[in-house]
Amino acid sequence: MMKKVLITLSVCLALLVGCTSDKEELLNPSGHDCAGVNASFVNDVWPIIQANCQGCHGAGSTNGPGPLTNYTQISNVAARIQAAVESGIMPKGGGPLPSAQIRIIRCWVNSGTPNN
Amino acid sequence: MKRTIYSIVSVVLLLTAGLAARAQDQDLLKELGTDSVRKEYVKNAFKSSRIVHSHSMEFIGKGVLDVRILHRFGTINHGFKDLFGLDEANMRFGFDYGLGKSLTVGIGRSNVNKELDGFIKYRPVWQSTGPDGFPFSVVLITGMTLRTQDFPEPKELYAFKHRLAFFQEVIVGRKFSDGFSMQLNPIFLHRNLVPGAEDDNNTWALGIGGRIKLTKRTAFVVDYTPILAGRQPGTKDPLALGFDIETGGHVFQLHFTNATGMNERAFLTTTTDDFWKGEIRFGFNLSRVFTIRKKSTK
Repeated sequence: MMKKVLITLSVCLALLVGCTSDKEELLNPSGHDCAGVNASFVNDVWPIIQANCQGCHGAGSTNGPGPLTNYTQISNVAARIQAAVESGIMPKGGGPLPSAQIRIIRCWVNSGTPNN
Repeated sequence: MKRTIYSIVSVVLLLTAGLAARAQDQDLLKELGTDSVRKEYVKNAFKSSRIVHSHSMEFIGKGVLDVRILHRFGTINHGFKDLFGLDEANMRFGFDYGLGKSLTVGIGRSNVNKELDGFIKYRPVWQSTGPDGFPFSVVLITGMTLRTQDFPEPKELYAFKHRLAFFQEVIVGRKFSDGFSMQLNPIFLHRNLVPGAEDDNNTWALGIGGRIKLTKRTAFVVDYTPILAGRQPGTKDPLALGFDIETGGHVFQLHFTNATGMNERAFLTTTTDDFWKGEIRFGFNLSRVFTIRKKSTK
């Protein structure tokens, strides 16, 4: 009995030993640093959304946060868009967005989702 | 500092569960010799080894292979155009194997992030009735996930370790009656890599699960996992309501959930839909068990 408990705890601890606590933002600061980045909704964010999201999130869509076809719709769910592209669960079906595009979305959200 | 406290609490939690289990077991063994009535272990607290997304206190049995196919579809508010979300599907297939009555190992693969996962599940304390009975079961689970999908460019910044996440879980559950079972399952998740500098690598959640038996072969289940600390920004608490339907060697779990993730890392840190705003998906878990090693006749 004790042996089994010890084995289980040892496995738990062995797994924890393999842990590190890295942050992608610090690992790749140039890809995350928003200093000097003036992410524009019209010129930067909108083309990304148009090319990668509107296939499923077009007018009338009820997928997840619904349509992403104008500024209001996109800014209302900006944090969710950021979480989805950072975690890689979106865009659906393809690989993750290039880090430069994820950075634009992140910086735009961090700067308060301006309509610029 | 906060992270250190979490780590200490995690280890203490695991140790306490293990030692308490051992002490209890020894007491029970001592008494066993003096009592002619045998204790009986409580079975079928849940129909499956999962409630919906969480592990349940139930085990599949020694020498049994459980082939599991899981699907989560798109949100049902699509309407008929997308057949209520069925056009969009996330899936996981997995294999669980019972090394003992109280020891199961399992592996699986999810299509999101092309992620592999594996776990070891052990039950040091098994709810039992009779003079030596114990009122609840304690189950320990440890596991890890491995992302195999490519990282975004520049890929050279990432190492193998960044593909990994680990989870530790304790289930304390009780079958109160033939018709009602309930469990609490605190989970600690550690991700080796998180997106933002302010994001926490450690996530703590307290799973709450229950089952109400409706008929001999059907049951209503609830699986709710509120995040207590270390929430990934923009995510919600996973919640699932469903029905278990047992047909011979199959268990169908049909449910509605806001979570697309089908392993601990995924459902704890990528659930962006809000159940209470109607962002609900239909999903099912299909479980088929095969007896690989027959019981010894000795």
